Amino acid sequence: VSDPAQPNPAQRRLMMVTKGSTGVTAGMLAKAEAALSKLAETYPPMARQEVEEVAEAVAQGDAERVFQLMHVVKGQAATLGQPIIGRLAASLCELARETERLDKSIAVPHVAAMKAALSHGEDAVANEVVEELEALVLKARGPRVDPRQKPALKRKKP
Amino acid sequence: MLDRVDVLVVDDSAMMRAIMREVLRPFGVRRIVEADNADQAWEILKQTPAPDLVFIDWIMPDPDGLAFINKVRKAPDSPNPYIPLIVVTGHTEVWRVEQARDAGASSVLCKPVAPKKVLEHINRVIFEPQPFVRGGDYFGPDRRRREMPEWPFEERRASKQKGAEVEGGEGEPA
Repeated sequence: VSDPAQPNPAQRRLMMVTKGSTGVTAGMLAKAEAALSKLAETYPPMARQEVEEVAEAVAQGDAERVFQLMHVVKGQAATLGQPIIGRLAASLCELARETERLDKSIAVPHVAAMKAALSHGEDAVANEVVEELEALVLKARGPRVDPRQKPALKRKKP
Repeated sequence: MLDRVDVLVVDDSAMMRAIMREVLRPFGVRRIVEADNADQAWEILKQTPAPDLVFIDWIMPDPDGLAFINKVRKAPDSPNPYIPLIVVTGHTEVWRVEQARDAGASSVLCKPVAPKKVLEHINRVIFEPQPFVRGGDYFGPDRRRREMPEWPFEERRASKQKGAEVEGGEGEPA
């Protein structure tokens, strides 16, 4: 164990340049929030494109591609004020990752719901619909397994 | 102050890099370097001035974020094995967070990304750093972090780490 009283070189430099504080004020935090909100305005067109791509991947039964696309969307959507799309993407991501074969009867409604949310706003997709789709994925997936107890799945992004 | 802290953001998603940029700039970070893959990030680490802090996505084309962390921590030619490495991930499962920690991550920021959360992680890795430990195949921050809500695995880890070697001479046994 390195001595906490003797910072490592990286830590020493950080302590020196920051002078012991980030200096981030409430105003700076508010500015960052505002910047993210502005960025969120540019997100729906990009999300539309990604959802079109995933629709194609679902049609082809390409679980790997579905996972790649949805893994990206779930983080972005949740960050950029599209929680329903984020949840649907997370659910579809889970379906693609955890089931041996992509079940189109579950995947297609996910895509349809995402398209509806993007076309008509997130309020157009009822929470009950999202919950039902999540439940279908949970049922299809079965109990969650720690992959360190079995060979890990190798995933790549495009 | 963060104006002299150089930050490297590694993510293959341009939007996620933009998100990090939009959050970090208002914090006063002047130099934000971006890489869209881990190999490029490795080269950037070797440059001067070198980054002081790294935000890295986990799921990327090979090598992924965890492979990068492993390399930074353990490679003999690593430019900075001690650099704070914050993993940004959509994974929220406990075992995945553990996996990142076992690779040598300093902290794991689970999406969605929010400015307050980013600041908390920056504060954590700069001002509440864990001492580095070397034990078995592991080199990195002591995984027995306390008072850290996203690291709820202390008891199991403590027993695994018993007997690890001392890095730098003093401090409690890992």
